[in-house]
Amino acid sequence: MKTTLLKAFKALLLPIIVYCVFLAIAFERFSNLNGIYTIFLQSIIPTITAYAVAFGYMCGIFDFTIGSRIIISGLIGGIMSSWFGLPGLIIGCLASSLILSAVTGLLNWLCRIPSLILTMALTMIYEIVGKNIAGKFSFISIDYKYAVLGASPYIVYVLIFATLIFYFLFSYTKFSYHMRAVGSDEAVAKNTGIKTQFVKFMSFVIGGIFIAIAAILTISQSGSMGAQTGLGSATLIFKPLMGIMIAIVLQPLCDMTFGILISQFTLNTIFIGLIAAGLPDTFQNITLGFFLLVVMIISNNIGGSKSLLTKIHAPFLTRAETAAVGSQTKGD
Amino acid sequence: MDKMVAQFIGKNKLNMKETVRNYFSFIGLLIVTVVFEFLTEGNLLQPRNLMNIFNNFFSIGLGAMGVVFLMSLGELDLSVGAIAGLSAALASYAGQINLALILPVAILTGLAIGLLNGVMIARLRVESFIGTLAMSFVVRGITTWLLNGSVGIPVSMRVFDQNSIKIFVFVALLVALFLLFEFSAYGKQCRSVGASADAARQSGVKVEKVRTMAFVISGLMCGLVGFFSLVRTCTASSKTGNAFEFDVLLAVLFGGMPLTGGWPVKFRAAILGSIAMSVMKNGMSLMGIDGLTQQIVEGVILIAIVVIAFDRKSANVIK
Amino acid sequence: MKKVLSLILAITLAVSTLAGCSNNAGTASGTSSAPTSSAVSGQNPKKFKIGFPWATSSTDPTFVSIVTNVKAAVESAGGELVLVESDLTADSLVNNVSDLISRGVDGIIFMPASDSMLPTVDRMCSDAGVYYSTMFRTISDTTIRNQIYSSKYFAGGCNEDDEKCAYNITKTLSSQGVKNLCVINIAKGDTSSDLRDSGVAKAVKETGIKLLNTTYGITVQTDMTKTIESYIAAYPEMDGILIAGTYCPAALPTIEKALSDHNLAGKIKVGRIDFDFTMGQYFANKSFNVAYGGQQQIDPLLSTVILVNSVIGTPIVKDKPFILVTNYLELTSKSEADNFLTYFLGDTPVYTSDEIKKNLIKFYNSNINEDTFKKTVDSFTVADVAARHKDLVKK
Repeated sequence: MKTTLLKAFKALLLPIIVYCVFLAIAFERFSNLNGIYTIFLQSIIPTITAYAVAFGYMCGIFDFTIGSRIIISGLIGGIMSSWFGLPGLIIGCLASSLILSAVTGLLNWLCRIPSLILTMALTMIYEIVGKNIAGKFSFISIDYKYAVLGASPYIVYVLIFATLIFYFLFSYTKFSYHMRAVGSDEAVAKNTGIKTQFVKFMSFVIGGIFIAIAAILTISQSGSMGAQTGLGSATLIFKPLMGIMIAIVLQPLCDMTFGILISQFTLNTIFIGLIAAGLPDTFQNITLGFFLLVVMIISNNIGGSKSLLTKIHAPFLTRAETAAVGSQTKGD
Repeated sequence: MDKMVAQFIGKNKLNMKETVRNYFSFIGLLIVTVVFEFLTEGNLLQPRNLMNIFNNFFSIGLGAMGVVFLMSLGELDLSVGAIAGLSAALASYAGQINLALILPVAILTGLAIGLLNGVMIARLRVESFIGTLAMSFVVRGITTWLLNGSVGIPVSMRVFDQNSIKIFVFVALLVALFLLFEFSAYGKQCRSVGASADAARQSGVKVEKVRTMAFVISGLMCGLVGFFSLVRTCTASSKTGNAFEFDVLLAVLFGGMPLTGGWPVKFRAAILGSIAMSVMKNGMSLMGIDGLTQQIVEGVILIAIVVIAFDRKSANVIK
Repeated sequence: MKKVLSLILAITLAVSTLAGCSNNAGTASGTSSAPTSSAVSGQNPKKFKIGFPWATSSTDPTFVSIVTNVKAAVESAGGELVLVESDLTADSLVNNVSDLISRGVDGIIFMPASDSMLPTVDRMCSDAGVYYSTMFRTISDTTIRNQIYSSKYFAGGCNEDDEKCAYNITKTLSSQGVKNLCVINIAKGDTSSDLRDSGVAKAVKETGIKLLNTTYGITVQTDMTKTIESYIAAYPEMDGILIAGTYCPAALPTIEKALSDHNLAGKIKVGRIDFDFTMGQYFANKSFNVAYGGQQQIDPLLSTVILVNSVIGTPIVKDKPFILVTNYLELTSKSEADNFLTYFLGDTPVYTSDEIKKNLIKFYNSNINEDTFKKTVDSFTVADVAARHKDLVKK
């Protein structure tokens, strides 16, 4: 217990250090509690998006469609909220997300082509579907009274709910072990009797639950959902993906579930910190990219688990092994 | 006897299927060309339109040739657009000092960032997908900060945008890189590392060096893309090279490039994919198809092509 | 075998394109003489084609309305619009221009990505004898401006005084009591964005407003929410937000929601350059305070009309380009915003083809001159369009 707490504290050092850096730069603007709470609130949607990304990622699937699926789900949920209120929003987002996720998973199963190619092409198609759903003005807005889930304190309750589901599904189900096995070595997993294609299909579907939650929160927080084209929706997953990468690095210290939250909190601290410091937003990209590189380089060369060291070196398609092995090491 | 005939037919069927798959990138290009030539009522292959196709595919083709080496290693480079952008930006500033500096600065910038990428991925063991993505954030940020707007070069530099020069450069690079990839020891080392880094290492291949070199080649080609973009538009802006990584990735995927790396990687995938994509885009533009429909058509065709052409046999697992 | 085949194929393509380019000059030079002389001889001008590189894949309704207005201008004189997809970067536009020239267009209307790309376009159009016109953008660089204005093939175009607009809206916000301002703008390097920045800077200096922060390049709603919430957290003294420009979809509703969640809607003054289709409800709530825009429809329409007049041989001004500065309209009420939505973003252009033919095409009315255009610009308001089109547009 003591060790676990100590490790958790070490993991928390990352956002604390980053926070202190900006505190030193802009003490006056950064030292209020409201700022910390805002950073926390802003970390919620990327955290839940990262949970959605994590399922496929652990299976070794890279899914470009997640952004476009969030948009379509939000649009359909938004339309349904005008008919059935808040339940319409929730059911609309959930149903459309699950259907789209199942379609994506099924196509991945049937086409038997690399997920990167399939999901990139599907993103192009889904974006146009979203544009058509969004209508002439390319956006759907919702009545503020149905948008309560996007504001504090409800958004925090949703985060707790999503985190618990993710923690349970990701750490304690048979499916999660199968998923890690597929991500670690699909050929071996297949030989041990795991229905690898079914596991991958399910990773799309279960990821779909978190996509729906992310969609509900996004449309609730913004009060509207706009369509994106030209692979613009793909950019929605880059920052959650960065969060996952940092969470993987933090895995020896804390569970993936909290690692993702901590990393998103850290990334948002940088975001607000730069604004508070009055630096132009061009520095955001530089700082975010540089921060990610430094974290990865340090973890891969000084700290980090042994397995991480050996696996991260492998080509792109085996990167999920790293995480899987990392978490298994922890489990051991 | 019947068994033998059945076996023969079966073998022939397999060979036919194999042949179609092997030559699919050629067949795909042919189909795309014929279909759009028909749909555009013969305008596609008009001599003056061929030049448009070439201009559209020139940069993508250069970028695609550059990434063949690292893709044969099973790596990805998502920073190609950002590198091209920074190369153009620094070259445009160099041009304000002396016009003769434009080309060397563009190339050196590309080489330097390529080397950084290479060291980061090969030596510091950062995964290429996320490493180059992070690098693209950094490089784009620096470009925007440096330019603080856009910077132009004298229009006289358009002399380098002449078709004859571009065709010569393209063909020269095509031949050189083709020979390097298909016939040189380095090209073979790339594919052997892609197939199995451990086996290659045990055979005496300096894996880290091979990896680093692949990113350097990609960076070099991006530097050239930046240079040619600069001399074509005579301007460098923060948008130069925007989304170029997606264009390059789509082009090589169109050509049937496997993401797993290794021996199935063919140099022709880069070239034929780039041409096919440019022909398709140009054809749709000639037909007056709007951008939204173009996007959906590209998506469907990409899936269709890869479903037919993807070599499932060579890939142990498909991820 | 395959390797050799691929090499041969690639070289063949390269060589065939080389063969293609040798024909280019001859064909292009043939185009140049086409439109000039025969224009006034008949009832209608000779058939012509106008090329328009534009982001047809954009989801922004304003982008769609721009196409509607350009099309009306081209068709007013019996022309054909050749629309090509572009991502509006300098690279893409130069390729589009080359593509359109080879497709035999007689004129090209486009929105330049920067000043420094214009000499390139001018060289291409001059070599091919194709007129061109620019919309929305002025040329800030003196050397480039002199070069372009002396070009035979630059017909001119419209632009707005972006700097003045930003200056005015910042002053309006100041007069509404804003003392600490945060700004959202398009992107560094974008001509309009840079000019608007300098307009804000000028007004800030003059009024004593404190400019707290400027954020650029927001393209997704979650980033917009984040930015506004970050402003709220880091700058509690903020009492004004100016959207000087953005490509983020549903930007205004997103900002309003973020402010509303923090009980700041109505307390923080919000202004925006470029009209938004959601302004009405926020004006009604008094949570949105001022908008400058309306140029996004009239500017491309008049820029195209200027080009069309040159292409058909009846340029508005002889021997020099005709540069027209269109006005930003100011909106402060729900009824004006509703009319904007109905009459500017619908399927009907702000001037129909018939209206353009009658009032703005010199071929049909030789009395049309610079003043006609200036008067048109001066009389152009939301109310004017609503009055002219009340029977045409279904509400």
